[in-house]
Amino acid sequence: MIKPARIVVLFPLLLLLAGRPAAGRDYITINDPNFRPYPLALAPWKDLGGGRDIVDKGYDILRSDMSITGVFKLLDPRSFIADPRQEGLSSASIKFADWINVGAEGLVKVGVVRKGKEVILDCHLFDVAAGKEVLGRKIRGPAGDLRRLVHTFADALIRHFTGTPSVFFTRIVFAKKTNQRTKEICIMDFDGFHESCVVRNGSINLLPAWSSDGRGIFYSSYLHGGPHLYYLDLRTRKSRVVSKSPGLNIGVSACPDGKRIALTLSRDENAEIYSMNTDGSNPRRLTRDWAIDSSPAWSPDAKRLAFVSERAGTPQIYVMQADGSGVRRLTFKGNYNQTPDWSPRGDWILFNARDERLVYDIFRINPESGEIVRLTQDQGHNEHPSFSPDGNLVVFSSTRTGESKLYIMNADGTNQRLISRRKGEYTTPEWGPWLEK
Amino acid sequence: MAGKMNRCWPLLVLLLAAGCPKNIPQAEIDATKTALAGLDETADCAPETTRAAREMWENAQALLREERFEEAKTALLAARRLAEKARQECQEKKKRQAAAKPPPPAAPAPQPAAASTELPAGPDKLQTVFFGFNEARLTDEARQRLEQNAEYLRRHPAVRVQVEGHCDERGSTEYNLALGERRALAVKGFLVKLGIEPGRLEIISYGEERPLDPGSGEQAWARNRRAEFRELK
Repeated sequence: MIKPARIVVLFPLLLLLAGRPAAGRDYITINDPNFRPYPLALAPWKDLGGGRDIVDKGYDILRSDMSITGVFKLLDPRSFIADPRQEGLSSASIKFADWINVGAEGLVKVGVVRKGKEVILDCHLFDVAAGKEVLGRKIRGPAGDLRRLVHTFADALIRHFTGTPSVFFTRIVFAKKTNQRTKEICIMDFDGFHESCVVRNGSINLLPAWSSDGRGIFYSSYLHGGPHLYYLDLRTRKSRVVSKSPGLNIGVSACPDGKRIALTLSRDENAEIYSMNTDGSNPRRLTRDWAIDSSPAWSPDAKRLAFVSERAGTPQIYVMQADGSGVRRLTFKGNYNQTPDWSPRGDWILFNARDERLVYDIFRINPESGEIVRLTQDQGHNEHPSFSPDGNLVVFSSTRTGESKLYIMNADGTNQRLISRRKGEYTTPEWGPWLEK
Repeated sequence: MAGKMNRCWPLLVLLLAAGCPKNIPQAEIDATKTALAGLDETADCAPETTRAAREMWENAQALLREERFEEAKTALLAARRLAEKARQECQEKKKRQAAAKPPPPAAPAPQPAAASTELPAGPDKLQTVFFGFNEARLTDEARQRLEQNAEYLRRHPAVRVQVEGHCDERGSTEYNLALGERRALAVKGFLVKLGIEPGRLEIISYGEERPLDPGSGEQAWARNRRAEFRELK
């Protein structure tokens, strides 16, 4: 049986060494056991002309972005002793001692100018101890696009500190039950904004999965029985059939190589895992067992698949080679383990387990050592976890307030927050890839 | 349990006497009290539902004490429904004992099996069968029903049917689709063994997507783990 476990903080950060060239800088890195959130002060934004109605809104978006990453310890603005009216946006005008005294190591200042419909964000990051600016950006765009403009600066900050892109331009796909008879496929930003339903056909549509380039969505639908597997091109908004063999055509995991998908078919009257080209051609059966085999999830190097099988009597997580050979059972605790998702770094597999109290919670297991860490506990049923493309965050569904909604958390289970914003039952989220720009 | 209920009366009275806002749902409270009066009789024949009704009543009282009246109303309504359900379960149990032929548990839907056994013509529609948690095995009861369904299909040789496999809401969407399919296949396999041509039986799995009972809890789950029949035109 899986027991509630102490949550272990896993992810990591080395101090920013200011002033050194990017190549030689120590980024916030993964798997550092000495992780300590970086103390960052976000100074109230300054109106430099016409931006009075934007400064607070923009500040809140930036603060939300920064806190979602879990990388920073955002200092409480009420503790700030520096006088925001006295201080400007240049290092010469800043009394760094005032910021050192409130515990800041980094300081972010933004000034706003608004000219008609255009907004200019004058953005600065200072290293407090060194007393100098380490990052400056001028970001301009339509005022109606404020969220995107702020995400752009937040992304620059994350790249500065971690050396990797942020998740601020990634999206999450999910299935949403709108009434007893229909389920739609919807997409929203990583923070729950800009929700739009892209498949609504009056039928039940299920188990959406991103294509590896993020340009389309695989999903299953009962539109013509089945359920059959479709691919939605997000640009044309058109769907085409990918697989409609008899029985189930469900549960795609797109291979990181961009060429193939893994999925569950039951054309031989039993749920088995197959791989096929993204257009449905050249299907290959990977499992051969008179048990339910389902929920394939690729490893990031495309060499292995995690999946669920009940060949030992109860659903458990297994791992096999991409050709179906070398099957190995991974979970031995619990009797109801499902929905694996492999981390982008390959070091963990998220899964969903029913614990000894019959509650569904999210765990992760190291595919090599078998070490298990519990991520959710005592907050309703928590299901269907999916890693963000940087591996630092997890989206999942939870019934903690009644109806199933979507939440994100750090990959160690901390910092859980609701992101879905509308009515309806949100299920089976999958975090999309970074988009090539 | 009855004692516990009584202990709470003074609190309610206090609440009322203290001149609380008028939105205390007094009518609902009274109606619920009346509905719960019969719970002693259902304690033996529908123990789980009776217990659930009492717990819901306690929830409602707690909410009333916290002056969360809207939520309390919902809880009161739920308690009344559960009490009503317990009564129905008891009635059915009695009926079943009278007919000496046990139809499935927790299926408050109109139950033709008992009546139809008296008719020489046999059942006049296809019956739903139920399954255990994470099970696709046919129970004895399910087999009995399927034998009657086979008889129906023999008497109506032109009828083709779709067997729908369903699951309760617990577990993953994906796994439940596979499990629902297993249930539909188990039903099809049994009917074929009874001599029904496989070509007359289509199967489809809806997993947890189309519950018979949208509620949560063992009662709803038991009703949702099922295989249903739909005649194809």
